[in-house]
Amino acid sequence: MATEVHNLQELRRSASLATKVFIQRDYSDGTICQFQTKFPPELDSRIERQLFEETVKTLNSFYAEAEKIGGSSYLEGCLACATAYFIFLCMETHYEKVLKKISRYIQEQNEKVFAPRGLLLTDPVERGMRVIEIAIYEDRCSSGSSSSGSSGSGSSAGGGGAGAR
Amino acid sequence: MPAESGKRFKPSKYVPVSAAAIFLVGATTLFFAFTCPGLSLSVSPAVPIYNAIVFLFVLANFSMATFMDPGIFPRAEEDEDKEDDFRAPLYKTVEIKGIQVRMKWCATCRFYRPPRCSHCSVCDNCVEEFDHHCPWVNNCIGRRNYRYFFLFLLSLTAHIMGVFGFGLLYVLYHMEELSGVRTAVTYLGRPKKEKTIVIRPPFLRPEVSDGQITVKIMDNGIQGELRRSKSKGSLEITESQSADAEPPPPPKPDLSRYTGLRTHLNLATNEDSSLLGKDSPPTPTMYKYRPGYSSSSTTAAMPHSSSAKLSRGDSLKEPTSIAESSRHPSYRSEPSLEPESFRSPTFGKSFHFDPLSSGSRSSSLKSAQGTGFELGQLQSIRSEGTTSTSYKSLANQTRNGSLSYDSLLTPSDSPDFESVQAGPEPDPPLGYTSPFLSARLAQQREAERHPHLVPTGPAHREPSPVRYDNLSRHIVASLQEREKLLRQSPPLPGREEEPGLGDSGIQSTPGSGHAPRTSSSSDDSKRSPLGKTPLGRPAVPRFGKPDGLRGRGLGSPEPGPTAPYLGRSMSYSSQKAPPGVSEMEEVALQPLLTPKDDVQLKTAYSKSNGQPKSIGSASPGPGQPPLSSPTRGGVKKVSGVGGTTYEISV
Repeated sequence: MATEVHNLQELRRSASLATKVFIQRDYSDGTICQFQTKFPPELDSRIERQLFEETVKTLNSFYAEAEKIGGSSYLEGCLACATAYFIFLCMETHYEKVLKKISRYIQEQNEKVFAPRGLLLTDPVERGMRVIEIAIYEDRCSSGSSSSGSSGSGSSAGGGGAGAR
Repeated sequence: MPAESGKRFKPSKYVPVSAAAIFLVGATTLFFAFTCPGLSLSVSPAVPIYNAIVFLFVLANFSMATFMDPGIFPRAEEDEDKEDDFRAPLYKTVEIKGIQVRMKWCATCRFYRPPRCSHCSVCDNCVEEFDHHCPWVNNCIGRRNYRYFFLFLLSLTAHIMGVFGFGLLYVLYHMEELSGVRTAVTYLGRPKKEKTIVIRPPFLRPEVSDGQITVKIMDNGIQGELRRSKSKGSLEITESQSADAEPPPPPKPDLSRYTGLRTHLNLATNEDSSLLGKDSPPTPTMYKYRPGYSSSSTTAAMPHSSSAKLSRGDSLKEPTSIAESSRHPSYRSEPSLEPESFRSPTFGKSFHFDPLSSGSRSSSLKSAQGTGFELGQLQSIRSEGTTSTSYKSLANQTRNGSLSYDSLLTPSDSPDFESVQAGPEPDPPLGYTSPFLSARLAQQREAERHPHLVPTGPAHREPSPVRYDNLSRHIVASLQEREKLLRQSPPLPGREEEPGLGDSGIQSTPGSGHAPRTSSSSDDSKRSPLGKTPLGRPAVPRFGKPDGLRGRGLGSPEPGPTAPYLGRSMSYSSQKAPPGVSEMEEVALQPLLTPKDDVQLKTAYSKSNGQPKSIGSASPGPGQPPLSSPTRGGVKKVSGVGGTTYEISV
């Protein structure tokens, strides 16, 4: 942890965006918002597959939950319609709540999992739910001359994440 | 934040949405302003509430559809398409549920468009689940705002249907308003109002009260004629014409006149009765047709013939006319005024003209006596009938300045006139005199009489320049005389004025209760029988009574005073008879009274017997124009200073 943090800090100080990995949408189940869980090759040396897949799957579930139509969403819609959508000034929809949750989750994941590994996840909302962008930062100091792709991706992911925020 | 491509402000882009918004809000506002109030009352108050809710829904959805992000894809960063940009194939195939789908590369957005994603050229954005770009909301309809857009459409349809339906309902409820424009006034095409009022006799007539006095200010003869011609129109014109057409006939013998008078009287009575029987106001036209009135009564300018006729007819008609006038002063005032104005002087003149009144008093007396019976009979008949005619004749004559003077000079002479008419007048040469002449003569007579009268009844004629005062006094005097007559029975002996006058006045004016019949009072004896028996009056001798009183209406000095007497007799109720003359006046006025006053009249007859001249004495002072015209129960003429004639209808 400390080394990871240290590494992360070092990465921040001297991190250079190496490359970005884009995880595309998975349309095998339709047009629902899903991301491919295929492990990109660039992350092969940076993160365990299990962690990655878990993160992606969690995100998928969150999106599915957001778009889920239930009683609460129905009531929300009716209430909004009845109040001429003035309720939106006071209250946020379920979808927005889930989106917020997703954002918090990604932030958490980045801090816990990805950042120590020199990766940075970007919220897909920023990309229009088209792709998950993972920035791979290169550890110049530590790694020295690391693969540009991984470092670039890591750095780009970090840069992208920083830019997004 | 990806920098957006330079977007210029294009006002043309906002025209449709502005038009849509304005039309929507404007039409709805008009609906709420004009049709909802009526509908809320006629149909239900829930109508505007429902429409308001629907309209609010429409507005909300419209706003959401306009301002909600449809799902615009942000631009892809450079890093994303770094690999694909140069050698990016146009399409990338993706398998969706086993189906191969091509995703197109969007050069602007730099990514492969997801399925159902399209680039909007208007918005220059790729919109996910792009439906279309709606100009009316100035927004793409995509995934995110599809719901609101659809609801907007639904609510707008409901709103349109509601507004149209309720507007149609409103129009159906107010179909009648469609036929006529509210703001435009048209004469044609108006709905005809059905007549709901049914006019059926008997009609209400205004009641004549003693207190009713209508003052008519008339000019002197000259101007009055003009006015009359103007106001009365054809009638006056005809009158004047007739007046002009008939030159004053030469003086005729008394007998002829007497006979003519008889015939005239008969005719007059017949006509009067017939005319009076109509119970219609003696309009000038009617006067025209009356032998006695037509010429003389209608036109003041009528010269001798007319005046003669008037005198003849007036004597008989006066009481009736007076009665009528007294009964219906309102509408007879005008027409009756003229004839009355005529009459009043004519009475005096009749004295002159009267065939009954021969050139000399004696002769006139005889003739008067002879005719007095007839006249008396006729007069009595007439008096029972109407008296307005006589009044009218007097009134007509009074139109003339001189005539008015006569009437004014001898307000109390009206009865005298009447009585004189019944009886012969002592001035044969004046018998045919025109109203003017008679008036002048009357004035002269009055002037002459005044010295006589003054001692007898100074109170009768007060030579005060103020006519109004005299008039009022006369009126009051006449009223008082009436009362006195009713109370008293014995004729006053002092009345010298012209017994003939008084009698004639009495006879001719049965309607008047208080005729200042000084003349009649002159011959008490005559009067008493006259008063008792209106038919047979020995008052004839009274008519021919001499003395200064006589000369009043006969062209001699006496006729002057007699004229005023007549004039007074004419105005029974309205005239205030002098004390001495009161009885006479009352008697003289009696014939002028309405039928109900016949009893009074009879009593007055008896009373006035022998009470003459007080009327004559009461006549205005010598040289003074008649101050107050005798009231004939309908119209009292008062001459003002300068020859102005005031006719007061009572």
